[in-house]
Amino acid sequence: MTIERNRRFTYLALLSAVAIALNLLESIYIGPIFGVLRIGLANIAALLALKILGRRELLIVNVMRVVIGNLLRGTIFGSTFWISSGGVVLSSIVMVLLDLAGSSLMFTSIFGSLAHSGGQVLIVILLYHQPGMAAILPYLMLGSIPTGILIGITAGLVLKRIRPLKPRP
Amino acid sequence: MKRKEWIITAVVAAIAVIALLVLKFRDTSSGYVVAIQHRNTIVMEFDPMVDAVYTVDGDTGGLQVEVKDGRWHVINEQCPNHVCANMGWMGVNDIGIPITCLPNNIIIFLEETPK
Repeated sequence: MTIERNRRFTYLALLSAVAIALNLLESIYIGPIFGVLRIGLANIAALLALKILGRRELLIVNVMRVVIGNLLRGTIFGSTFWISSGGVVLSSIVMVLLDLAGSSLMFTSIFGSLAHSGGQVLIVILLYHQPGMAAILPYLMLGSIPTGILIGITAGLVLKRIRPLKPRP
Repeated sequence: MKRKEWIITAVVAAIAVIALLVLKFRDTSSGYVVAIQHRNTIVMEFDPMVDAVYTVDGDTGGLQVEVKDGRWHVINEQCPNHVCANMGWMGVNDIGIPITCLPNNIIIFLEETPK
């Protein structure tokens, strides 16, 4: 029992570290595509946490990635922090709901990606009182579908290679 | 992925395409000014039909907006991300995405003026 608990805790720590590292690497080396769209590589770790560990762990990984990621970039509690928080909160809610509904990994990934973009735009609109920002949504929606598919495929490939954990007691 | 899930994804993509087409072919016969907002205050407005370079102060040092032939883009931005400069040129006939420089807390957007 203790060994299994330790394994779960190790997986959670590893996935959080992977999410933070991917988040930082993407922002430093890849940057936005067409000026506005990000791939969202850290979502691979979030999806893995959801499928391997559970919904509560998905939330922990996502919170860690936003808080520690922004802390390391020096943007904690700045506008970037609140915008990424908006994206992560909405995508976490959508992914948890889709998981509860028994959706596939790919569908969860696509709609997690869509919700992430939606959440970010919503915070920008509220933060800057700028409803015109909604014009970016269709552009982001079209971009989020292929990035969601890419993240879903990658997470699926990783899942095939990971030894499953016993369900939480 | 289940068939139902593919259909929902296709519907979302179709809605996005329709929204893009609506934005692209909207009525642009009204007059327009471009506004530069820093935090929640509009600090500058300019006519996009007049070629010029405008300088604005922001939280990380500010940026310049170059206007040429009815289009505008960000140059010489002093911020770590350079997302605003990478967004490239925007124009009255484009889909109307505001240029956003988050580290500087600056948004550059199109404002419709009465006919």
